[in-house]
Amino acid sequence: MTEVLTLHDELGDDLPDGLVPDETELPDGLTGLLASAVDPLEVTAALEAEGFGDRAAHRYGFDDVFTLAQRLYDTSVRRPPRPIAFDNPWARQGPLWKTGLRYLLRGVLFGLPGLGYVAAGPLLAHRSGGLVLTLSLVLCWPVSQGVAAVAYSREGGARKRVLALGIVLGTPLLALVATALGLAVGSGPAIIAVACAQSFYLLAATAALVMGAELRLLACLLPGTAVTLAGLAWQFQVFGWALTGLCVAALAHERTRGGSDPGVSWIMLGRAAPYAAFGLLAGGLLTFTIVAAYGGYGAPAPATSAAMVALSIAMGPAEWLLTAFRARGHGLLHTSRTPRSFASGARTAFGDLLARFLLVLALLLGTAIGVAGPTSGEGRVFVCFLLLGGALVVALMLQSFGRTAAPVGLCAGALLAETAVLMTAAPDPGAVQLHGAVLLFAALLAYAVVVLGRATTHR
Amino acid sequence: MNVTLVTEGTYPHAFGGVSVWCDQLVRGMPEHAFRVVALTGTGLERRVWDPPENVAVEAFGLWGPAPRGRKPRGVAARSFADAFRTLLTLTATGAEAPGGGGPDAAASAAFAGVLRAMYDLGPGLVAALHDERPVGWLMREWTTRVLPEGVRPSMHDALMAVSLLEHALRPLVLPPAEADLTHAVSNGVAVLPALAAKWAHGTPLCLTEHGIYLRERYLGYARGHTWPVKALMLRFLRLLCAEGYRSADLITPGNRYNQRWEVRCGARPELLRTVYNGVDPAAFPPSGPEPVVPTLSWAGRIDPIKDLETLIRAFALVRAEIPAAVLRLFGGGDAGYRRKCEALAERLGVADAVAFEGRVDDIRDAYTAGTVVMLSSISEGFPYTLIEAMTCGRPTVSTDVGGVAEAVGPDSRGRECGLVVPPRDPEAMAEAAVGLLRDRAARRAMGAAARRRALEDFTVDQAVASFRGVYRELVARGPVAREPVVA
Repeated sequence: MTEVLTLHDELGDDLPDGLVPDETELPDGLTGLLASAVDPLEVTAALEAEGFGDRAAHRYGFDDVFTLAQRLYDTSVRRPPRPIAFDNPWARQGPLWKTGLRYLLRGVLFGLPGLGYVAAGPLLAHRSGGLVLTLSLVLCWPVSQGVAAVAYSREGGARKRVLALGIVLGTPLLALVATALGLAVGSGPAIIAVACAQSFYLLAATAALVMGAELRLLACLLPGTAVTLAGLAWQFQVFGWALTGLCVAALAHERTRGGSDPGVSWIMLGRAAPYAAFGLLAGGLLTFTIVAAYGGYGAPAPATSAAMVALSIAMGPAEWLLTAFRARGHGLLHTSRTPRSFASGARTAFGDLLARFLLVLALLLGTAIGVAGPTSGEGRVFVCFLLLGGALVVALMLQSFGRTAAPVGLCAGALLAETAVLMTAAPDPGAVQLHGAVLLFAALLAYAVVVLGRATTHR
Repeated sequence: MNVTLVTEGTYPHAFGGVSVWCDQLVRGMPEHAFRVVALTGTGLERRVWDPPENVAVEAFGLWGPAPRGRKPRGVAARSFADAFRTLLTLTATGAEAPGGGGPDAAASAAFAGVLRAMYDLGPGLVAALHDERPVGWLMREWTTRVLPEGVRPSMHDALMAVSLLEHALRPLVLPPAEADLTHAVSNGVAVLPALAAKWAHGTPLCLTEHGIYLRERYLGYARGHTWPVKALMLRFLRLLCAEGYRSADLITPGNRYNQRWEVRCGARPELLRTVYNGVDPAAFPPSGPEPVVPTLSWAGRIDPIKDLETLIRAFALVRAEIPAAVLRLFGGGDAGYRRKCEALAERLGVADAVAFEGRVDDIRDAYTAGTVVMLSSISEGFPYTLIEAMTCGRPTVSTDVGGVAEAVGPDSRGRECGLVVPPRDPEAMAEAAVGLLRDRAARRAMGAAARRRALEDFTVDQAVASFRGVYRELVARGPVAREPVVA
């Protein structure tokens, strides 16, 4: 490439292939192309694409452009430019405090509606009332998880329409189930009304969260939480929460209107099924002692409700952790040079993030249970919910990599085993739940350590 | 007879010259039943062509949901491991040594064995390629190679390369239907279903190339991939194209110019038979009187490969000589490139004389509008716009790319049917255009010669008749003996 352009006529016979044209004679960018070419044919293709064909090659004394390309390739050095930076699709957008605040807010949003139960306290006093509310809540989770899974697989107008359909079809369906349950166990119309409102709220809030309306959803929750925290009379409580419900309805309507054909196929619904199943199973695992109590197996530990609220709030940081792990995994793919170093890096990142989550959850559980005051069995509730929270996060992490079968299978196994043990041996439900949680967490952890260390999982 | 026509990213899901050609072919031979295996992105794309009744379309997405299949076990798993590792020794190489030739006979035979072994796995192939082990094998293979300075493959490179291979090899899992003939409309992945039909039923293969598949891939992979991934995929595609040429019973390039690449990449010259594209003369009658204003017209897709910048620069030079001249550009396409061209015309002070006319319903209007029809592309196969303009009897100035020189070369009486200038050379293009614009007699003679030439050599009936003959010949030879595979 340093040789000067010389006309072929002036050449001696010892250089039958002609001389290499000067860089300035060649198409722009060819120097860079030569440095990263894989073979002479790539150079030929580039020359021809720039209009530098056989005729031009003849001018320099080459038989054709192939020979010229071969000569250019032979007289240059392969030195591909280093990739400057890789694109990490999972990397955090915006400053750390903003992202942190957003996930914290999502956690608060998951936990705040729990205060509604405080407001509905008098209703819960009826045994049957609590059962209807708990079961209908557990049934809401699969529906909202499934709707969210389908919605995330769509974009723009189609996503809006999926969410709108989720509310419009899901609410009556869940209301029907709640009504049937209420009538079956003989709870009053008030309970049924609250159960229906709860179904609507969860689906509408799902829509708002998928559409990224966290702050507005928080504003909607203000009237209800304010009246409850102020401890006003029940008429005010009903009014406050009704106002919240109306606000959420308005927000969901505003965020999902103007949708377009969702183009949802059976295949897609099939793919959302594991997410829905996981929602149902997670609900069952968490409310195990509460439901067992209504089955006549003894009251749950008093700290259970507080632990549930703490775990709900922890789901905000959990979401953050999922994206953070994906980002670290993606970065490791680019920096690792062997499968082994990638596996150990990915497992270390997994352990690190899981440990941080457990620490946050422990703090939240400790605070919530502490605020609720000393009660019997609070230590066991603490450990049990810490393990259940860890198990759920590991399961969600596996799901975010498309590994849906194992988490659902293991959770289903745990719930079935717990139910079977309870119904056959009738021990303390709290103890059953704790043992189930230990085994489930261990099994999911073992599976995750294997699977998350594979590069193909992070594809 | 039953013909399997394999297309990739063209008929019936996309517009463009190759799709026009496919449509002409299947409509021209209503006596044959065509099964079009259309290799596309997802397999769910909307069709933009309405195929006639003798055509059944089967779309197969290279990038859609993975075909279902069980991961091979036992003997099959070992066979996959052997095949894939052989593939890696052939493709995961460093930079080619200076003076290195193309793939040798041993490499070609080994590659053929790899494809055959992968075909034998059936749908399990895709599941096997999704596994973790191929990624590890590739990383290990790279550590044994001398790579260019500063190249250190990452796990991401290995994942990317294995994934690209998986998508490229997918057509091997298509069960080959029994047919009298497979006609692949390009080299590359479109050849895989043809190879499968050959292995399963001994079906003969006709391979048509309009452009050069490998050349286009070299250009496509030049950007957007890291060096190790690019090197591996180009090695793979080079071997695949060589296998396509080697396995074809007849190769029908769309122009003679393509043969340079084809022979260099492994095609046997005695199997090459050029079949030119053709147009329907009834759709392109003589254009009649010239426009009043001296006009240069251009028709096509607005795209950098058409090099409209050179055309606009040339026009500015023409305008300096003939101030009344105008340039009319017909066609839609890349809006960004169009803006760039408009800005160039503005800078050169000819914006008022350059008109972007957009798409026209009848492309013939674009040729009628021109005193001279221009073609400024830096790359072409055998462009329809050129032979259509010729059929209309218009004089042309074109760049010397692909089969252009063959199209406008002297007719049977030795008369030029169009002018050819070097690509990216505004001065030469302007000189040719000015010469024609100033010489009415030359224009008339050239237009008449061009039309005569087009009616003689570039009609759709001729193109279809050639393929009718090719089909008959290949089927008459009977099923091809199944070749033993050398592993």
